[in-house]
Amino acid sequence: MERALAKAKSTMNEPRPPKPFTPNFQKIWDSHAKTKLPPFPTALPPDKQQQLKAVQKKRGVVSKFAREQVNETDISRLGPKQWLNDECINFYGALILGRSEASKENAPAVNGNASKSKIPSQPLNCWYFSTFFWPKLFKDGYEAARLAKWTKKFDIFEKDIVLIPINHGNTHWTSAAINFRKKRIESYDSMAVYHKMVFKHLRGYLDSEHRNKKKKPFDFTGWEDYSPDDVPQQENGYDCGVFTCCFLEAISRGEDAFRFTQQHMPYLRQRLTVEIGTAQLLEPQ
Amino acid sequence: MADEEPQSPGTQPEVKQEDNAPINIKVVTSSGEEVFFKIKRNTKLSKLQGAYANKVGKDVQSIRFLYDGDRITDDDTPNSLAMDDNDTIDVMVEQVGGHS
Repeated sequence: MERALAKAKSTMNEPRPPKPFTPNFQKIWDSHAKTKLPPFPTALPPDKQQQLKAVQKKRGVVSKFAREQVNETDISRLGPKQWLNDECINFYGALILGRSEASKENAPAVNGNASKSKIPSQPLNCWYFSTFFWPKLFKDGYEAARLAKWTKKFDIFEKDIVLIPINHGNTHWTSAAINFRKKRIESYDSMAVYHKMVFKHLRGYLDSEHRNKKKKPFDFTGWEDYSPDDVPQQENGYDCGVFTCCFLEAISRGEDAFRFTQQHMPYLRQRLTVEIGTAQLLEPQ
Repeated sequence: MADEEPQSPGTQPEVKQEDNAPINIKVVTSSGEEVFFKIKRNTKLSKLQGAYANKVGKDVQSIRFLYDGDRITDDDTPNSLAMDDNDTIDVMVEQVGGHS
């Protein structure tokens, strides 16, 4: 006993081993913010300006990716003050889905939180439903629209998040999502409207899909309808499609706070043109 | 499956026979109107899309064709999409939005 005490005392007087490097979350966040998050840009760098011009000069079919393609008319809708159409949005959605699938191949531990939490902006395991999913669900319903067949090649319940662009009355675009990680049905609207029908029908979809594929009702315990009213807002009658694309892109990386605002829209239209025109997403910002 | 050995004599000759056999396809609009087509399994569906647009008097650029949610591309055939006889193609119209 005495020997043990003596030994303990002697170690007390020894120099202390160096502290292991354990930065707290704030430090990681700060260093991340410093290294990865410069001010949100307002203009494309010169090389991308060149790409933009090249894309805008193209005629006929401008770009193809997966099952999507856009022609010069679709691309022209990304110009200032134009309304976006389904082709632009679905092309962009295909790019987001493509990035998610490519990152899965690089990081097989899809649900490994350790690797994910360090980098807030890593693509989640996403699915993207095209702009036609909503009218099918809303007007026809799950059975009549044969929506069970839309997921014949994969299990939607294994995804982190399902992205769903929504067209309202052929005048407005918003983003919705089924977020399995956060147990939320989400709606993001640049006009700050609460879309009760979106929550109702997406909940209905989840339940029908679960009954169809898993043979039992979906368990909504802990699920909430999420429609934050502090998301970036449009201050005009034409930018909602751009906001929608940007919402979808950000939430596909698990982002909750959006950094873009109305003033970035002219820049983001150019950025989207380059991304869609070259079929390649640029680095998140 | 292309093995010559008759391991599953019941199904194999059938599959071969139907490789390019015509199938019936139903094209349905969002308002429920139906148009029926018969098309060979190796014929490009762009032909069907053109014929449909003609029949309903629409510009083929303004309509979108989906099979089980997937956009049908110009090079797709019933075979490339693994379509079955009496399968359905959904026709959707262009959607726009900006909010004014």
